[in-house]
Order: sequence, then C-alpha cells, then structure tokens
Amino acid sequence: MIEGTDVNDCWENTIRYFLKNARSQHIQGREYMAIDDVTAKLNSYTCKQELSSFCPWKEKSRDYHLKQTISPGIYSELSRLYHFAGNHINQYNYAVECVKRGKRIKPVVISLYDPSSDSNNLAATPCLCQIMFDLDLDKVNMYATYSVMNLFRIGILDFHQVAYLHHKFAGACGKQVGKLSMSIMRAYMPVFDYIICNKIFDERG
Amino acid sequence: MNNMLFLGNIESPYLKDILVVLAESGKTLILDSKTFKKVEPLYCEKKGITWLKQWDWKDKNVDYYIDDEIIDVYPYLYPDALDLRHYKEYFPVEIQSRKSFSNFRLGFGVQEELFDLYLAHFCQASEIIYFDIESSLSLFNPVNQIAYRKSKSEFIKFLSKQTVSINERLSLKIRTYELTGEIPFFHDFTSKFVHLTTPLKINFYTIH
Repeated sequence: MIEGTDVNDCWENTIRYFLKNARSQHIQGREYMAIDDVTAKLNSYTCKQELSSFCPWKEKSRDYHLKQTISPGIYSELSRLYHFAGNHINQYNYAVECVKRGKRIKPVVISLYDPSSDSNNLAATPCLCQIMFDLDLDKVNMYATYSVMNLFRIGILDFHQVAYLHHKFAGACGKQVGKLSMSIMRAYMPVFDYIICNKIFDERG
Repeated sequence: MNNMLFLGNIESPYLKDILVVLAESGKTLILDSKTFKKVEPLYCEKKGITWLKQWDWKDKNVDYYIDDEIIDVYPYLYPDALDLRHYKEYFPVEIQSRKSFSNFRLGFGVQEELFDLYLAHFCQASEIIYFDIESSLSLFNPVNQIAYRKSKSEFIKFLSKQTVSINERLSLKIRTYELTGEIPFFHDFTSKFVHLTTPLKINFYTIH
C-alpha cells in the first residue's frame, strides 16, 4: 500500500516504488517493465491544481482528463459512467441516489467494463474497470480498480482524474470526500518511458 | 542495409520453424537481448548462419546499445503531450505545434510501434518482421489501414504475399508491406526517423 500527502505526492511515491521493484517482462514481442498488484491510497481530498513537478506532460493533458469526467467523448471509457442502467437513470446518478439513501452493507458499484462490447476481440478493454463508493459516517470513500496503467505516461493523469471524480461525486451526494484507493492490477512502462522516468526521478530527487 | 529487426512471440512453439526460413534469407537478424538468449542456441544448430545481433538498453556489451539516444526520439513519440518548455534541459528540441495536435491524443500502443521504427532506424534495418503479434498492433495492423485510407492518409502499402511450406502440416504465410507515407499525427517523427526514399519493409509472419 503506497500513500501520499496529496495526489501528486501519491503518484511520485508510486513511481519510486515502481522504479525500485519493477521487473522486465517480454509481452507480445516487446520488453516492458512491469509490476503486478499495486495499491495507492489517499486519506482525504488532496487534489492539486497543478501536475507534479516530476511530470513532463502539458497541463492541457490534465484538463482533458478532468473534462472526461463531466463530458466524456463517445470513445472514452468514462462515458460508461453515464450509460443508462434501466429505469431511465444512468450509472452515475443511480450511484449518487444510492449513497444519498445512507450506508448499506453493499458498497455502490459503477462498472466500466462492458462485457457486451469488451469481449469483442477488436475492442480495447478499458483500463479503469470499476469504481466503488462506500459511506463512512458523512464521508464518501472511493475505490477505483484498474486492469492496467502506464504509470509514467498516464498514471499522473489517471490519479488526478479519479481524485477529481471523487470530489465531484461526494459533492453531488452532499457528503464530504473520504479516502481514495486505486488498485492497479498491472502497472507498467515500455522501456523508453522507463528510461526517461528513471532519468527524471534520479536527477530531480 | 541488410538488417532485419525481429519482433515476435517468443513463446510460440513455431519459433524454431521461423528461424529456419529466416536463416535462408542470408540477412542479419537483430533481436532484443532476451529473445537473442532464447533464439541463439536454436540458430546455432543451423548451418550457414553468419549474423545474429542483439540490442539492449541495460547491457552495454551488445551490438546495439541504446541509452541516451532515447532522449533524441522521446519528444517525437509524444509531440502533442510533452511539455518541452519546462523540460528544456532534458529535451533540447523544438517541435512546432500543429493544428491536428490541438487535442490530446492517445493511441494505445502507438508509441511502442513508433519505437519499433526508431529501433529499425538505429540498427540500420531495412525490414521489420512481426511474428505472430499482428493482432496486437495498432498503427501497422493492415486492418486499421482501411480507416486511414478513407481519409486518404494511409501510410503502408501492400507489396507481396507468399506462402512457404515448412512441413506437411505447417506453412508460413508472409505478407510484406512498405512504409511509403507520413504517419498521421507524427509528421516530425516520420521526417526525422523514417526514410521514405528507401521504404522500410514491414513483414507479417504467421503460421498456418
């Protein structure tokens, strides 16, 4: 379990853990550095306005990722948040209604994996598979499960995205933001990302 | 340039059969060091093999060692996303923003395939061989070229196909394409690392 004081710090600590523990794997003709079963955790709402100083990506990448939580494009996996589940209510609004009703023994689940389309060979399986929400007194805890994440290329953007979604969801429920946990089945980097990431973290401390 | 860069499924039970065919081409085969270690003993059983080379990014004692060279190519892999202004000390290059880059784009696996092209450039290979991994490709998968063709921006062209009989039960299907055009959204990468005047050949090997 990797923790951080804010979303950027959490990502930086996850990367440091990755650089120390990742192993080389040969998959589909290419070499990747990868590590299985990583969980990163934030204990309260600590979303930042800026990207980490270790992150070389433009701010507009973050803006784009945050925008996806509100108005996702049709090809975005987050568009499934707003898929109608039945009774003319989408998954997101249904989850809000459930949390508003109070704590239940079962957490509320939003599934982003869609077996009807994702079992098709040609479709890309979503990286973010499911999100669960649970009430802890007046706080909403959020648990996001990723099948795979390129920690360096997309990781920081994903971390910011789910932290923002968490904040937005808690606001919609009229609750406070609680803990955020991100479970990543396989964190990886292609070798060119790994080399650059290693260089940046090595030189910047 | 008589080098071929090999990228393939090294767990395939037919790997040895493929090597027999490649051995007959008389060209130099370049593999990553992990594949090299697996393949070398198989190759050495065959007579007439003169060249087998390896590349790596960890071990300096290989034929093609890549380390700081990554810095040269990295900004071209992510031309629309990398903040070159704040990372000048790492990437001292200038890439002009283009209108097509106004939105952040992510093609899953695209960068890996561009890196294959860079490797071919770095190792002076005139051909890339993809063995048994065609379905995992995004950029060079011929099926995806249909979408590019519709927007008149296809960049690989079909050249030939042949079937080589391996034994009574197995045959090797080889389809060859040429990289003939600019890769959409990666114009600067193409002009820097791809020689369109002497097109790179992309071969897909599949066992049937």
